[in-house]
Amino acid sequence: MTPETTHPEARPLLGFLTAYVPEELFHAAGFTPVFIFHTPRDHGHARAHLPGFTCWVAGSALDQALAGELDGLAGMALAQTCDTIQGLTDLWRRNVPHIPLFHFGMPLRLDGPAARAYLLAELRSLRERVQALTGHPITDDALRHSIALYNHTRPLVRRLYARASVLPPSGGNTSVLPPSGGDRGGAPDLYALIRSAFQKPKETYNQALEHHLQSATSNLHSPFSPLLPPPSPLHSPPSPLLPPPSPPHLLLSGPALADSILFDILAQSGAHVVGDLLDLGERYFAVDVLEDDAGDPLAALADRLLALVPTPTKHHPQRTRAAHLLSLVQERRADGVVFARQKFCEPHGFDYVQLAHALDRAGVPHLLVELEQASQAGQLRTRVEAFVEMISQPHVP
Amino acid sequence: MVTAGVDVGAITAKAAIFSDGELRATALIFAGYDREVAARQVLDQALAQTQLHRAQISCLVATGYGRVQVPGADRTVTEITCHARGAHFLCPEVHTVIDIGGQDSKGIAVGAGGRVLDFVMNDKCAAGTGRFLEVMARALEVDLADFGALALSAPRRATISSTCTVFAESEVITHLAVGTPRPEIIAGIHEAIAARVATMVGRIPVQDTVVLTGGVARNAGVARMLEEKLDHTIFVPAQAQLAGAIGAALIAQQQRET
Amino acid sequence: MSEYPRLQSLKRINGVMTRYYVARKALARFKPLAYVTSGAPVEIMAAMGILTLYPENYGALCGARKSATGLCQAAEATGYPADLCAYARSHIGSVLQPGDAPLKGMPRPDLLVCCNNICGTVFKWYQALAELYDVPLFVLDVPFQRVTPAEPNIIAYVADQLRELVTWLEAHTDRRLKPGRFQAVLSRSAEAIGLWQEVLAFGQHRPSPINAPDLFAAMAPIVALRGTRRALNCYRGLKAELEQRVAQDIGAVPGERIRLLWDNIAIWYRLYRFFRPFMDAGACFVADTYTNAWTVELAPQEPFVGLARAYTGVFINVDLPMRLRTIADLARRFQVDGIVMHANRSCKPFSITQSDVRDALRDELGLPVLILEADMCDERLYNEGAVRERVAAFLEML
Repeated sequence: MTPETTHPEARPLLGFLTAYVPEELFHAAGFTPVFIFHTPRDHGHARAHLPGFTCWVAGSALDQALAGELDGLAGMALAQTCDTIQGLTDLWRRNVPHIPLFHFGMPLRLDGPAARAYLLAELRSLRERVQALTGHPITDDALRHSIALYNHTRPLVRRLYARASVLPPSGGNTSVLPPSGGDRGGAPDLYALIRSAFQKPKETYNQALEHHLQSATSNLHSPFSPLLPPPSPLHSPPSPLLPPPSPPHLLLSGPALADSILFDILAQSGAHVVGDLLDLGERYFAVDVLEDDAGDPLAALADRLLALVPTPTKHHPQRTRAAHLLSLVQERRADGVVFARQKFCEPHGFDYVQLAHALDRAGVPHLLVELEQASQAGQLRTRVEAFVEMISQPHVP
Repeated sequence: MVTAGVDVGAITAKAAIFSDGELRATALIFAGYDREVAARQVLDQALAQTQLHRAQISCLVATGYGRVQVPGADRTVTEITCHARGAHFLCPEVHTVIDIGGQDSKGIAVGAGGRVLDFVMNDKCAAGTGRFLEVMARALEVDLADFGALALSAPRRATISSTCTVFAESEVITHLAVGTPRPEIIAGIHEAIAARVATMVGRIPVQDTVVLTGGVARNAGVARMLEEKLDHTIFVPAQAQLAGAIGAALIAQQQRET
Repeated sequence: MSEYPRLQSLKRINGVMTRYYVARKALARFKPLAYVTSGAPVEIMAAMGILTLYPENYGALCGARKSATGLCQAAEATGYPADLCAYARSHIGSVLQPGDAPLKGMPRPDLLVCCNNICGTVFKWYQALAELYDVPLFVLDVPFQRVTPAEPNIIAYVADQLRELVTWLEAHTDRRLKPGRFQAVLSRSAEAIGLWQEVLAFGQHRPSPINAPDLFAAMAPIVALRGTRRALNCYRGLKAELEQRVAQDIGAVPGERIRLLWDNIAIWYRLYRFFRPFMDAGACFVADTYTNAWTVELAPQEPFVGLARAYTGVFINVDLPMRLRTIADLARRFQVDGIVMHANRSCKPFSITQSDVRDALRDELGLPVLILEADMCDERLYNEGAVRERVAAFLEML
């Protein structure tokens, strides 16, 4: 069974965490990589292994694994990023031996020849280790094929973002959704679509996304339905402070792709999310892999990983997150930035301060919300709404 | 033109009624478990102090924790925006509002006309909120109403170092066991909450006049120690607890005028 | 209650460290000063005559002097979440409010050298410092040693960066790395580590002449003065004093009847006070995993590769099975009766796998294990009552 002949939906699944796993390599090996998003559900298994001060992004994956919910995975991949993921590597190996773990030593440094050489060596090492599990080689051709497939996805996602940044949101509170057609637009739909990219085989996803982008309106009962049900008309809150002539434009930053509660609250506040610096958001789809029939596909993969805007755990002396965020603010004419940090996440905790200070110097308002295993909607709502109220005030000369 | 503001918090519900720019009445009751009923009752109580009827209210703005449960509200606005506006009404020179409520606390940087320039909130942790004082008062078997005065009467303050209410409670019990005088323990408790609030507020620019609102504002011990920590005089308006409802009513008025 | 005999050498070491801080402030006007992480290859800087200071060591000092709370609050007031590493918050607080900090804060650095072999937090901390001070930052990326022995690719990468570090230091200062001086420093460093290992080994005696808090109080030179003659003198002196104790059968804890192992960083604001109930019960901490973190041997013959191996293989950077072997080996060699693990909120690498380590040690060695939640530096997270209860119950068990 080679990757090319197996039907996409029938391929074994490879779970992964972090934004630095080279998905194409696992795809070329015959897997469908799927991101293991955290869920609010706590089975209590992870708590027996992890201290209370551990972020739930990692905790949930371990919890799901120990509860048997990930038994369908043929393997799990983690890239070196933060101390918690490093610890999870150890804990997974010890406690989830039935799901083989691949640790990918993504370097911290993104600059310089030494880092690139090491990254390349590490990709080669990963290829060998994956081959050892599957029992068949990952050929350069297979890699090129997978690269082409993933390169097909990214421009589609970029179009999705471009469209979302231009389309106005559905407005404060539509308590009843149109029965058919009518893209609600706004954060919940956009991010539900982005999340799907990490949960479906690329072959299927690319087709569906193309179709979605082509049609003027989308069927809300498509496979891309938002993950949370729409608010019931009986409980729809009265609309907040009269929305300004144009809804405030917001950018998001953080590791929060799975926290749909946040996107719902943002949409209901009347704000318009026009882009993000989320780890698995815009930055993840911004750079394609160079396709070259004669070149080394692993080198091409390495170069993409090095070229991405860094997440907080990676370092490039010139290509900084602050510079990128500021240019995004300018480009999208953002009125403010919302930082959604997972409680106990050290990298994003420090990163928030650096970015916040850069925004302060540029006079851009920002808000910090902290997300947990079970985030309180009421508290999130108050903060987000207060922030939207604040930046919606007419400017005083 | 008559407008009203209703502020439904975790513990109390407040209402304010304005007519033609003048504050006509206010009311405050315990919220109980049914926020909807509490909202209705507090508004009725306020109305009863005037000659006005419910139907005459041209705009009702709801705020607070339970704002989505206020029947008949035309708009909901967060308590941050309302407290800023209300504090500005009570003290036009306000630049910083510190609101310490039953279950959360906030710091708000206020600009011209009572607009919000920046804010910080603590709603995750009981320490730094009225709850902290409640728990401690119970542990010491002291009436909450006497708490502030007792704190100020102590010549020394015991050290309560934990940021966690549960840990702090056990520190208090340890103090009692070793015979630390009660007023000193109480002073230590007040210092702890003031320190916690001050750290939070430190994240926004603190500028005179600093106004304290919310239920805990009535506690002179907290107000005094907060002054120390922030090195600023703190003004506690007589209607400190009603700032949210007042602000909501004023925003309702602004709504109607535009 | 027994009288607890104090080691004279500790006073001397304390004096050496105080003078070290004071001297750094003075010398920093004439020599380049680099802030370095505790796991950085300080031998290179020492050989180039570049002064070094350790913000982590300073963080421990803030903890020990009980200044950490106020400094952490200063950092938190500028937006740092309260759940971040307390060393970082304290130190950043000292940069923002030096007036409230021990020794009025650390002198301004000219350079920053950050090595992530001890954790990823230092990288973010040093990024913040690079911005606060507007000085150049070198990041030495030491990958996680996920299998032992280390993979050649990792060693090659680290060795490459070490050579790069030398070039970078030469470009940013007027210093040059002279091979002769380098070898001398490496030899002294290896000797200091050897001496330190001997000091640690004294814990195997019955009774042990040394207790973990003594080691915590004595460890600063091996961290901060590795490669210097002063470090050698400190530990020669300490070794001699311990030899004397052994000769006279003097134990660090009079009436030693329980031997324990400590895991994780020290609780700096309770350095000796924490251990009182143990001492009173005749319990001595004869070994620990924190001071053992500086025991990797250097290989002066192949300097950059040797350094790469040494700094990649530090205790906190290796895979869990390797760490378990190390701890189990310690427990056996030092003949411990139980283990106390500090669940240190500030240090994820040490704390995150503690439950599994506890289970493994219980299963493999049949030893009782106590896990205590606290923090190495932030006193606000220390619950005196809860700790006392659990320690008492644990001691009753032994």
